[in-house]
Amino acid sequence: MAFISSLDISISGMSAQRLRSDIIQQNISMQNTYNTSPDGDPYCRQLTIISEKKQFSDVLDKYARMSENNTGVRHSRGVYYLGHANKYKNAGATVVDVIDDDAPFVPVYAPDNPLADEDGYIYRSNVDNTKEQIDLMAAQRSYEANVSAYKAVKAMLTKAMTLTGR
Amino acid sequence: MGLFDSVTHNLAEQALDATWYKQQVITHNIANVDTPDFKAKTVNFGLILKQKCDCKYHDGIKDGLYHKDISPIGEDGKLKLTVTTTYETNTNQILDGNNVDMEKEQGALADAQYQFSALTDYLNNNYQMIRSAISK
Repeated sequence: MAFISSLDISISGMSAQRLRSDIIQQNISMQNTYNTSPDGDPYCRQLTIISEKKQFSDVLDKYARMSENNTGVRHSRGVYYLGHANKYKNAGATVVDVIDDDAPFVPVYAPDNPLADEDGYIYRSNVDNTKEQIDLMAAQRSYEANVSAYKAVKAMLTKAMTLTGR
Repeated sequence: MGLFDSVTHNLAEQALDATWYKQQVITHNIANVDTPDFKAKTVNFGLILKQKCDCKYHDGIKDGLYHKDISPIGEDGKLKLTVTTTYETNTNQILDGNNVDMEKEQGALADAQYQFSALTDYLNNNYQMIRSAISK
């Protein structure tokens, strides 16, 4: 039912942010780990890629035509006719991929360590604690934004339930 | 003309649908605040409604009565509300190509909420009138 499933849009955003903060917490907990064998790599920082659920934008693009307004800003304009089937029901955000960060591992000079390579270095994971903390805050705020959107939609649903004429 | 067939009643129902659609687009924008290359969508329907309402009037005398009809627009002979969704392709809020403005979206959502509330109240009043007409 399209009516109730509108709440799924906010929920999908929330669960994407939740997964993102899970990955961040994993990064934080692994920040001080080193390589466990002389030729092995330490833990690599993971990044979450959040994407728009595609079906929705496909619908928009189907009705899209390019137009130029007088301010020179290019608009992509889609005309949506009410009464079409609820093709927008699969809207929201989702985590499509978790990828490795490209940042180099941090070398630490420890020639006595049995795990050191031939130059005497062991390698720490490339997790930067400051970055992770800031990312975690951003994820938290985005989550809260989705929660407030959820509440607003819920209020609208409740209001619609009063459509009885009494 | 049926009880629920008046032009305003029909429009209010469509506007309710349109507001619901607007709400979905806004929550979609909010959910995608961290999506790279995502462009925030904006729903406009007031303007289109005005365009469509700017229609011909057929005035005339028929059966000895003065008629002032609004000519029907749309397939099923009713005023049809169309909705456009626009998005700007060349503005960036941050470097990853996303242009969701969270304050704007929250404001728009509150806007949609009140609009929905007002339309619901209007329809409720309408139903109340019909109810009292039936019970009299």
